[in-house]
Amino acid sequence: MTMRSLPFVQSLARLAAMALIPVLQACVGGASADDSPAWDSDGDGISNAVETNPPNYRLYGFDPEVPNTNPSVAHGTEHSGYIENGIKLPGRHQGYYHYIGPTWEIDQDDWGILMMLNVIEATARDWRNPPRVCTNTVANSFGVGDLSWGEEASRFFGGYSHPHGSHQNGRDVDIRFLRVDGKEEPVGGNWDPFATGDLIDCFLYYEDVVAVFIDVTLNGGWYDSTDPRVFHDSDHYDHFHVRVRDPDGTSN
Amino acid sequence: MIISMCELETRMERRTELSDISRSAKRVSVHLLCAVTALAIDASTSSESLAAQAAETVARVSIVNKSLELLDGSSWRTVYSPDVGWISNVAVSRDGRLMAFLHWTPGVVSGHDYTVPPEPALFLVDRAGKPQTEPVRGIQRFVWCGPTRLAAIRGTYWEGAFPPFRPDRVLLLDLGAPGSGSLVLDSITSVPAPIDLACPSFEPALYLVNATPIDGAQVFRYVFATGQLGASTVLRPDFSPTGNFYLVHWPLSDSVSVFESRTNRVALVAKTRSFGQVLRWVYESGDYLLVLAPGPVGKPYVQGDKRPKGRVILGPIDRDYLIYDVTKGRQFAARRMKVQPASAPGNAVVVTIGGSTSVLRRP
Repeated sequence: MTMRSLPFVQSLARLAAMALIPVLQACVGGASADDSPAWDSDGDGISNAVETNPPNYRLYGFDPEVPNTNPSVAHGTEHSGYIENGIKLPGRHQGYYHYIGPTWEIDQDDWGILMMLNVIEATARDWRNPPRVCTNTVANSFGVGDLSWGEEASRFFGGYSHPHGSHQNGRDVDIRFLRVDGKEEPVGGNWDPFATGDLIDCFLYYEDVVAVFIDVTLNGGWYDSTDPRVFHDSDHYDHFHVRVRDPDGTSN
Repeated sequence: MIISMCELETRMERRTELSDISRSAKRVSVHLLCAVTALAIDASTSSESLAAQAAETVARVSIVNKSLELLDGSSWRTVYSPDVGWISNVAVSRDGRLMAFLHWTPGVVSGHDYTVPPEPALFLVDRAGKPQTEPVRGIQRFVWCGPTRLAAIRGTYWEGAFPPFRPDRVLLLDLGAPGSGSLVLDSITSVPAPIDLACPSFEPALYLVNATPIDGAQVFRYVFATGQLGASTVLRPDFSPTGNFYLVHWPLSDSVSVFESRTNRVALVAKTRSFGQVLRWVYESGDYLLVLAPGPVGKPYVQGDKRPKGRVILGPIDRDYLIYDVTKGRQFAARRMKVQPASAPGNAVVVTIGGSTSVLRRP
């Protein structure tokens, strides 16, 4: 290569690098910044709300303007496992609110893997703006209860948390039944089966959801579905349980 | 016939003017005799009809108006309406004369959660809806253990937990003679965290499930006659009517297991997708399971497909059910019916077939 051809080579390299950037961004997990949805400015697949949730940016240095990689990994199984680098669900955002479940305090029961949080957030967006199977005529938001246990200070996430047998590796969440009056409160005697059925369908739209547990015998039988991901469980009569797949398999 | 004669006598007297005391006295004595006789006949006829009615007592909490309703022929009659709060867990006594249920007082909500949880109270009423005793507060679960005896777990409601309460202790309640208003309370404290209880029909005992094992046992057996409490070897006290088997619903699982009571050997593992959803024991005798038949399963879902929505109905729904004979290991019967969210004596299953509601009995 002669001295005269070097600038041309440098220009060629520069062009190649520019072409590679969007490819790299896509690999990280999102479209280019220009195509990114409003709720995920940098298109990295981690929402702005999650990235700006203080425990998350303290732990992982998330930046909503810079693509970040997903740090969370589910280890073991939902009944015997833990989370590596758990991510904390914001206490409230469009379409959902977090309530205190039976485990621990409110700051310790809302950790999960990214896939779990993404399903919750995506369903919540659909719930507020129903384009598909979500109907939603009453409640503005649905209640998100226990995910997995976590503690920022110790960086320990998941594992056993009484009274749950599952919820151990960040792939499980409890969702409150909806009330007839749409209030963001415990169901009490005001359960709305129609709205709750719509919400279940809303979650089931996402193929990352592998199981929904619900008492299908309430009122003698209220929710009739041929979806193979719906399972009967008699303990779930005032909330239902959503489980997502393990993104990296169960070998770890 | 005597009633008819008394009625005729009365009508004849009304037509005759009463002119002297002796005739009046005679009339009064005749009327009294007629009245006493009529009462005696009415009483004997009433007690027979009451017993027959009681045996067929079917009660439910109405899905529509949230009241306690009694099946009266082909229609439902309201016998109790809560003025505040709501009711749940209705259970008819074994002789059908009484109904027990929980009446919930609303809690106090701050933000999204309870600061004061709702509190249930155990109510006992007769077929007319008349309370038989003062309500017992804090009861989270209860079972009938005889015509007038109940066992109950007292505790504090705890949303989302399994079960949804923090237990305090087990209470034993006995009404004595119906209508007497007496209520004898005793408690069992040596099972410190009771989460479930059962009074099987095949023996006069109470089974209690503790939240965690105590010296290796999680289920305990209390004998009413002696007051003795001892560890049981069963995993859960959901016994068949004969007591030969018991059922275990594994939480967050797609399978149910049946064990032999005497040996704890597995008699059946029922996978929901292939076997059907095992719901409970059925019939007053034998070892039969009520199973929701496996329905057509949709193809694996691919996001973006136009997937059908789940059908929501203000229940119950007509569905296909199977009756499975555990002893013989095969299907015994199949029915298309509605399983009513109702209670009948002996914890029998209440169904509606072709518009007619009744207790499901073994053919």
